[in-house]
Amino acid sequence: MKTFLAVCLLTVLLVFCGCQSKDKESNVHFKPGVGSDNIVSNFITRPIGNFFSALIGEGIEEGETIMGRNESGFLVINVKGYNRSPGTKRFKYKVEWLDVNGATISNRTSVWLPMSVTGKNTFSINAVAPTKEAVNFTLDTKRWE
Amino acid sequence: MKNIVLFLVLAGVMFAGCTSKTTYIDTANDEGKVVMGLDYRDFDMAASQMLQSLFASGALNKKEGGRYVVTTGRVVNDTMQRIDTDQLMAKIEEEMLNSGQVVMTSAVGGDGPSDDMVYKVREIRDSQVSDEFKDETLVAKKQLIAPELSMSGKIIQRNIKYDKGNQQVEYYFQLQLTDLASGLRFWQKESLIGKRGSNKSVAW
Repeated sequence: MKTFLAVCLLTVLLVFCGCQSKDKESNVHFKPGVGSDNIVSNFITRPIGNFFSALIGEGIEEGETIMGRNESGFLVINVKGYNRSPGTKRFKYKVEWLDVNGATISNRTSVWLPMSVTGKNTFSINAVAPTKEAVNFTLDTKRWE
Repeated sequence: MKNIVLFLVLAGVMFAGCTSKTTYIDTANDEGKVVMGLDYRDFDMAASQMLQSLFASGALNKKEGGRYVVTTGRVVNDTMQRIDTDQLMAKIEEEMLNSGQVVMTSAVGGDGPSDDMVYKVREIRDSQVSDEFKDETLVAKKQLIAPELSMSGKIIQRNIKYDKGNQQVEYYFQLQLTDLASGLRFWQKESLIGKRGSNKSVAW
């Protein structure tokens, strides 16, 4: 009976923790300690949610990528993403620009740049190619030590 | 005697082991420690952020077609460090040129012309030495093109006591692009680089 109750409780908590990802669709994010506690996010469920998030290694998730050209004819990119984990994720990213042959275009803008995303929040990276020769891009990331 | 030789050899080996090996920096993926002063990574980052903003703004897009003629005005170093502001501006100028939207002039600049030869060849033309040169190879008058835009700016440093043993150093990179005919500012950007570290680290 005890085992059954424990399993039930764990299942309910996991379901509630899963519900926290609803933040993703909302434009307004009230972080814990700012917004009111509720049945889904409160002082009991949050530490459990944080623990499971760390356990399964939640992190940055890639979203939609939009490519276009600005009025100067330069390639413009907008890479969207989402931080699934409840904690702030800091990382560095580098955008490399590719020409029609897929070769990397040497330029001064392709350096490691910092990015910080608060927990359970969306972000977007915007970049403009420094030359009209750019037709494609690659985006690389690494940990921000 | 043998003992002295052995001692000297051992001492030599020990001292040789203490010297750290000189290595090249992997400038593409430098994992080296962050320093309190400004190093090349900070200039790279600031230049990249400035250029991204400049290209996104469309300020270099000449409506009537063609390319703008740009000069670099004064870029003030208001930090405690001995910085040649060309460390920043050379990257900016290089990428502006590579964009195909502008040409830079070496004839006019905030700290004088960036290439003195522009005027030296004219001094030769106007001097007696010109007799030594073929007339058709000498520079004619009214050939220089005046700049239309000027890029100027400032690098500022602020040192703040963070807590008992740590300090915070803030570096502000500020650039602006001005239309020289109208005096209107077409573009402006500030990029902040902040560092926290021990008071023992020197930021100059």
